[in-house]
Order: sequence, then C-alpha cells, then structure tokens
Amino acid sequence: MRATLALIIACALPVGAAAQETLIRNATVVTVTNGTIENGSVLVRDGRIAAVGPAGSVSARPGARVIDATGMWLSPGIVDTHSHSAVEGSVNEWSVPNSGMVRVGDVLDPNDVSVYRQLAGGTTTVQILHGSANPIGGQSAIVKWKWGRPIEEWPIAGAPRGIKFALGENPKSANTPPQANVVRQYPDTRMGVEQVLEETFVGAREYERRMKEYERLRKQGTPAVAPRRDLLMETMLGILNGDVLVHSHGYRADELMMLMNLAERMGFRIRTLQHVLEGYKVAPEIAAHGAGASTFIDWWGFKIEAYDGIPFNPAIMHRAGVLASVNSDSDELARHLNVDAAKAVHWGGLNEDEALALATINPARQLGIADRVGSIETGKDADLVLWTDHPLSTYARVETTMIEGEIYFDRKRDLEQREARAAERKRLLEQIERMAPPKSDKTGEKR
Amino acid sequence: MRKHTLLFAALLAASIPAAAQTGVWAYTGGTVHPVSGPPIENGTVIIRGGLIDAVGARVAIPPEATTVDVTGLHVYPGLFDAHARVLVKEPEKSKGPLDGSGIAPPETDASTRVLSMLDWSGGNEARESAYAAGITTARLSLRSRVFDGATPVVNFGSGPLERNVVRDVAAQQISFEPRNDGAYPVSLMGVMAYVRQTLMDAAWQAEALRAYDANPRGQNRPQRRRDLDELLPALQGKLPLVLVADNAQMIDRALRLARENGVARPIISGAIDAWQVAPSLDSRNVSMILSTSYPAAPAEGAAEEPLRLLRRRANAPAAPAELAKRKVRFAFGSHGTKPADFLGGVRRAVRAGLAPEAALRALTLAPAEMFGLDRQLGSLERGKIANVIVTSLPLFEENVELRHVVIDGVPMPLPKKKEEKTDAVSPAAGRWNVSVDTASRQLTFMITIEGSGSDLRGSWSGDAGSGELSSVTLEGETLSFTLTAADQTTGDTSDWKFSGTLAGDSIAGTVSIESAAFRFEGRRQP
Repeated sequence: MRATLALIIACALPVGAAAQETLIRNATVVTVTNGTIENGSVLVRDGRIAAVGPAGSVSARPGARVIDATGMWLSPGIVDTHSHSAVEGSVNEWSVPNSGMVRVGDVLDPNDVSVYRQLAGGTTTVQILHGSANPIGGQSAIVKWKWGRPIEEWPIAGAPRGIKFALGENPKSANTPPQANVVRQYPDTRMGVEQVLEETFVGAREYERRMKEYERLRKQGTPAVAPRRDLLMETMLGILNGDVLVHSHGYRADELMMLMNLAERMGFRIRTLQHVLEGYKVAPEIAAHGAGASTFIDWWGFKIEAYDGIPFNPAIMHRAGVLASVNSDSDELARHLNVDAAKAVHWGGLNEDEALALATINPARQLGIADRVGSIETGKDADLVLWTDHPLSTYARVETTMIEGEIYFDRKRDLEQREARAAERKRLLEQIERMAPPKSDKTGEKR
Repeated sequence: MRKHTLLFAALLAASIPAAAQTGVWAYTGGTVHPVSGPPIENGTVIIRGGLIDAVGARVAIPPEATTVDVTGLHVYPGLFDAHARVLVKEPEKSKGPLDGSGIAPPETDASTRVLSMLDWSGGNEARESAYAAGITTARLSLRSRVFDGATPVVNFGSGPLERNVVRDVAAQQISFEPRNDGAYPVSLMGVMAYVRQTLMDAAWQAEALRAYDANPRGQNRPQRRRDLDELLPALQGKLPLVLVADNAQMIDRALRLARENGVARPIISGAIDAWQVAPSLDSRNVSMILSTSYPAAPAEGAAEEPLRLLRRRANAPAAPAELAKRKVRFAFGSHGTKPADFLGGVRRAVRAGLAPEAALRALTLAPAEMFGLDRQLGSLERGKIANVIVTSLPLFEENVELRHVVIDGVPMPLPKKKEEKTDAVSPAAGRWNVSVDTASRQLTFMITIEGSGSDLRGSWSGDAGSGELSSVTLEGETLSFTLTAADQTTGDTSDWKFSGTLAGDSIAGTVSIESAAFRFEGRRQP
C-alpha cells in the first residue's frame, strides 16, 4: 500500500533531470582540478558527473537531454564557506559566551530570496555559519541551494559538522554600545575570549571523564545514576575528537596565533580561519598548523582590527602552502564570488585555475566535502554553472545553474516565468477578493 | 411574555448565581444542534442544576422548569476557544535560564500555573465580551515565555474562579519566541536548542530519580527540578503538549522536536500555514488549533507583496477545509484577538470551503476531545456541563445574533448592543502611513489609532516589526504615541516616541529614540 502511494506521488511530480541523462556539449569546460577542455562535453547521470572530456569522447544514451553550450563556459558550482543567508531569526545566540548547543540547521528558511539570487551568480554550496557575537557560536549547516525543494533536502548528508568560533572585537562587544535593561556579556577583552575557550575544553574533558566513569560502572553492573546528557558539552567533546570542525572568525595575526596554539595545546586543529585579514603575516604558521584560510580579497578597514587587510592576502597564503579561499559573509557578495577570485590573478598573480580554486575546490576541501563538489570530475555531484564568458571575466553572466543534475536557475526560464508569476498574482488577488468578508462583517482579520 | 422571562432570568443570574445553578430551565421550540448527533427541529433542552438534563424532540417539560421559548432560534453548545489570551496578568519575565555569566539557574517557566495568574475579579468585562461572542469556555495562555507552563480550561461564567475551572492543568505549552532582555535564548536557534535540552533533561531526570530510588545507598541523590516534573506528563503522553507555531517551517521544526523527544500527539497552535503543511501531516498523530486571525494585506505596497505572502494570505482561510478533508483534528483559537472577532474568523473559513458541521465541531466537541474534556462538555448531551448558546440564525450566517448564553446552567445577562457613535471618533483615528527619515535610511510604519476622546489606543507594523502602541494622546492638534521596536540582529528593544501635529489627513513631527531625534511624516489612509 505504502509502495503504491509512493509510486503515485513519484508519477505526479515532474520528471526530474536527476533521473535521466543530460549531455552538455560544445562548452569550454573549466574543470579547476584538471585544466580546461576546449569544445568539451560533460555527461550527467543520476545527479552525478558520469563523464568529462573533449567532444567525441563523451556520448549519451538516445533520448538524453542535450544542452548545446556552444560559445559558453562550464564551471563547477561556487562554494562559499561563510554564508548567513536562509536563517530564520538572529544569526547570533549572543546571550552566552558559548552557544555551541545551538544549530543553524534548526532554523533554515527556504524562502530567503537571496538564495535564488546567489544561484543566479553561480553559487551552489555554502556553509551557513552562526554569527561572531560570542567566542563560541553555534553549529553550522552545510547546504546546497536547492531553491524550491523542501528544506530537509538542502543539507549535504554526511558533511562534517562545523562550528563557529570568534575572536577579537565582535565577541568582546567592542563595537556594540551597552543597552539599557540588557545584560552585558562576558567577555570584555581578548584575554577573556581565550579564557572562555580554554575553560570550555577543560570542562569538556571533565564531562567526558564523568561519562566514562558511568559507562565503567554500568558495564560492571554497579548501580549508578546516569549523568545528565549535556548537548553543549557533547559538541565541545566533538571538537576535541575532531568530529566537529572549527571555523573561526578572526583578523589579527596575534590572536590567530593564540587560537592555533590553544588548539594544539588541547590536541585538536582549527579547520579554517575565517576573514583572516592578517593571515599573510603568519602564513607559514597557518600552513604548519594545517588550518585553511577563508578570506576577503579587497574588503577591509571596516573596523580597527580590519585595517591591515591587503588584496595580496589570498595569493601570499596560497604560495605559503595554506589552503586558501574567498568567501562572501554577505548576501550580495555571494552573487559574484567568481569576480573576487579573479582579483587574485591581478593581485598576486595566481593562474586561472589557482584563482578559480579559491571559490570552488579549495572551499570544498576546507569544508570536507571535496569528494562531492568543487570541481568537474567524474563521480562528483553535477553542480555545474554555464557562463556566457570565462567565469573569471567581469563580463561573465550565468545562463544556467545546476545542482545534482537539476536546473535551479536558468536565465531564459526566469524571464519566461515572469508572465506566469504575474498571472498567479492576479488570480490570488481575485481569490482573496472573492473570499473577503462582506463589508458588514469586519471580523476575522488581523488588525 | 418571552421578554419578561428573559429579564427575570437575567436578574436571577446577576443576583443569586448560586441559586441559579440549581435551577431548572427548559429551552423549547428551537432547532437544537447537539453536535454529537444530527440537528433536532423543534427540540427541547432541559437544564438542571448546572448540567444538561435532557435533549430531544419529545421531552417532557418538568413542572418546576422555567420555560424559555426559543421558537425559530438555534441552540448550540457553548463555543470553546482553544487558545485565548484574556484574563491573564502577564507576569514579569523570570530571569533567563542563563545570564551573562554563562551559569544556568535551575528552572524554566514550565512550572508556571496560568490559573494562578488570572485576574478573575478584575476581568468581568473581558469575560462578558467573551461570552457575549458565544464563547463560554476557553483554554487560557500567557504570552510566550518559551515554556509557557500549565494552561487551564475555564468557563466564563459568574461566580468565583474556583467554580469556573473545568481543568486546572489542561495542557503544557511551548512557544518559540526568543527573549528580548539579553538572557538565553535571544535567537530562534537558541530557542530550539533550549527546548531540545530541556525536554531531554525532563526525560533524564525521571530516569535518574528512578535509578536513584532503586539504589539510593552509595549514590548522590540527583537534584530535582520542579519544572521538569511538570513537563514529564506531556512527554509521556499523559498530558497534551501544545506547540505554538505559525509558519510552515516553524510547524515542521516543532513537530521534529516533538518526534525527537517522543511526544506522541503534539498539538500545533497558531498554524497560519496549515494549508501548506497539510499534505505532509500525519493525521493520526497531530492536531491543530487554528488561529482565526488571518494575515491581512500589507498596509502599503500591495503590488510588491511577495508572491509567497500573497499565497499565504489567499490560502490561510482555506486551511481548515483542507485539514477537514485530510481528517486532521483541529479546533480554533483567538490567539489574542478580540473575542468579538472569533466567530467571524471561523465564518471566513466556512466561506472558504469548510463545511458548517465541521466548523461547529471544531468550535465545540473537537477542542473538548483535544484536552480530554469531552465527557464533560462540547456537545448537548445529558449529563454534560450546561454551556448553551442560542442564536437568531444558523451560527455561520452573516447577520447571526446571540440571544441567550447559559454557562454552567446559569443564564448570563447579555450586554446591550453599543450604539455606534461616529461623531465621537477621535480626529486621530484611522490608519496612518508614517515614514521616518533616519540618518541611514527611510523606515515606514503603518500606525492604526482607535478610540475616542482621551481613550486612545493603537497598533503598529512596519520594517522594525509590529506591536501595540503605548501612551497614545491627542492634546489639541498634537498627537503623541510610543512604539517599542526590536533590533532585528540583536533583539535589543528601544522606545520610539512620536510627537506630531495633526492637519487633516496628514501629520508631521519628530520621533525621539533615546538621545536621537528624527523627522517623521504621515498620511491617513482612506
């Protein structure tokens, strides 16, 4: 019975591209990891890339959908390690110095139109982070922008869990004036930020000890009251055990060093430094620690700790062996991260693949999802973007954005839909008019 | 003759309610809608000692009964508002579960008994306006405290509160509103984490106490939190758990949390987007209290109203019909709107396709079942509490008027219809479209002012949220009012004090926010 129902539902849905083959041909395929293929083809099957190669080397089954991309460039979808889009409510649980129990994934909002605009800029995968108002923020959500699909389909299953840390001016409330009737939060200094982190991990080890002691008693059959499960402490233990990856906001070289040293003392590694505008000052140290660095190319000076940013930062860090990326931290910037990547060609002289890697494969590696996204390789998810020009060109415009073989943005379709949308609006307004209470009955409407 | 009887009944009710409750009444000649069965033409309802004694077409009228002839009228069980916010004295918010120190004080607000926070004696007017709208019974709730505590079901009858309580703990309630005083949780995601941990704690505490009681020797006794004790029955399915959620995502989140924590049959209250989630609901295990306060058109810029909100506005009143079709149990709640608007809201649902029988059930027997009170009330059946209303027309006709209300067997005096005096309306009354030029951007508000003379009140909505106005005054041509806006990122609130000069349909003046002041201008909307 249930199977029958599922079948009926499946038939009622439009046949998704994911279920069939799609051949994109005659494109300039920018794979990022394996160079650029002139007049190349990419075959998509079941939402994955089934084959990549020059024209002629790749063929589809009869009946496959064929997209002729003559004159266009095909790149992997852009990956953004630092998004705050599609979050319902505040992105900061700033009331406590450590809000590691909160999960951005609990409050995703599939209606944030910024998501669609980012698809129109080629962005397909993002890490949605907690804000930087406290030293330890909430757990992040790593999602694909599957606009129009139910929200539970957005998160990438199996992606490593992440958590936000924050250093410097934001967690010590340097730029937020005190509010009447609102408790001022600890910490107030950079020393306090470090203290919160250190105390947290000492506490996490103590929690682990209590849990293990209970397990020991239970196994030997000694009656014991189970300790209370603490979701905050479990998350902190996850960090120490490497199950929860730390993505830390920070600008100044001294405190980046503080964080890496503290992590090493506690026996774990920082996964990425976020913003990291002074990363170029300590690039070898970042490389030695093994942290990734996700930065802005030319956005600085917006507060004291951001004065020392330079546009050569990504290139310098990259040359020093740091896994570097550019991120958005902004709904607007997330629509053209390809341009920010391109600037690293100008400032620092990265080659085209190195520059594009800053917004594709490198952030994918930083998030631990490079087996699925970040480049055009056989076996990876078919998250693909068709551009009118080389994606590093400021003239490049996105024609089509695909996630797992399904089209989520298409310029032509968008233009066509405008009429349908206007018609729907008209129909809805008529429906509302029809059902409106008669003039004599003013009840039942919010006032 | 009928008028005479009525007047007598009203006098009796007002002066000696205790005696009235023991009285015998016969409502004869009306169309009786028992809800538990089909309507009875020319039926009789006998009320004795506060309970329904007999219902039917051929019922002998006891000689001691006071007969009320309701020929041509319609007799129903009293209406049940499953989520009302009247009569309650909103308490000061307790100190947050975590303050700036990061240390958790022991308790949530789950041990709050809303019943102990009612202003019953001062609430005569509120009770009167409720039963004058046909609402004889309601589940009462506070504004959100995340854990809103134990909510009672009461009748709006005469006499002391004690006599009107139907059940003191009818349900526990959780709502998902972040706090605005800087204490945890200040964000929606914080609320989610807070609720998740607390529900886990409640289950853990029960288990820890059990493990300790089994072997107290050699173990430290667990600390016992009263609020967790209060939550436990709701987790175990022994007490209904109401989760307040309006939008589709919030409904999903609430249901997910319930599932995660083993809550077998959660009740979603609010549920403006019920039309959207209806197809994915498990009708056996979810019930809903639908708000009769439907989304309204934006104050301005209707042409730019996002399609998504337009869809919501068009479909929300059709949600009850959709739920009925899918056999999801539902009731209605006024959710803080005026009792007088309650029935009108349900009428809109009927206009949007809900069968009148289903609507009636959702106003009577359905909420009674939801809170395990269906053996006591919700239908006109022998032995049930005598909450009865009599109307001039079938309940969902447009110009229906209430003719009689009986609560706990006591006929209630109906207030006289107020004459609408249009000349008394304040010159400030109306909907004002107000824009404020701050240094960085222009903010717009829709300000609604109501009332007459010095009795002014109002509400606002706009870029910075929505809410009630405070300190609304008109002195000469100077109109002043204050709104409290919350910063969307931090949740910090600030008072915006408006003061401007009225000139016909326009107003201009200054708004002061803490030490800053900006210009504002407004136009009255037609």
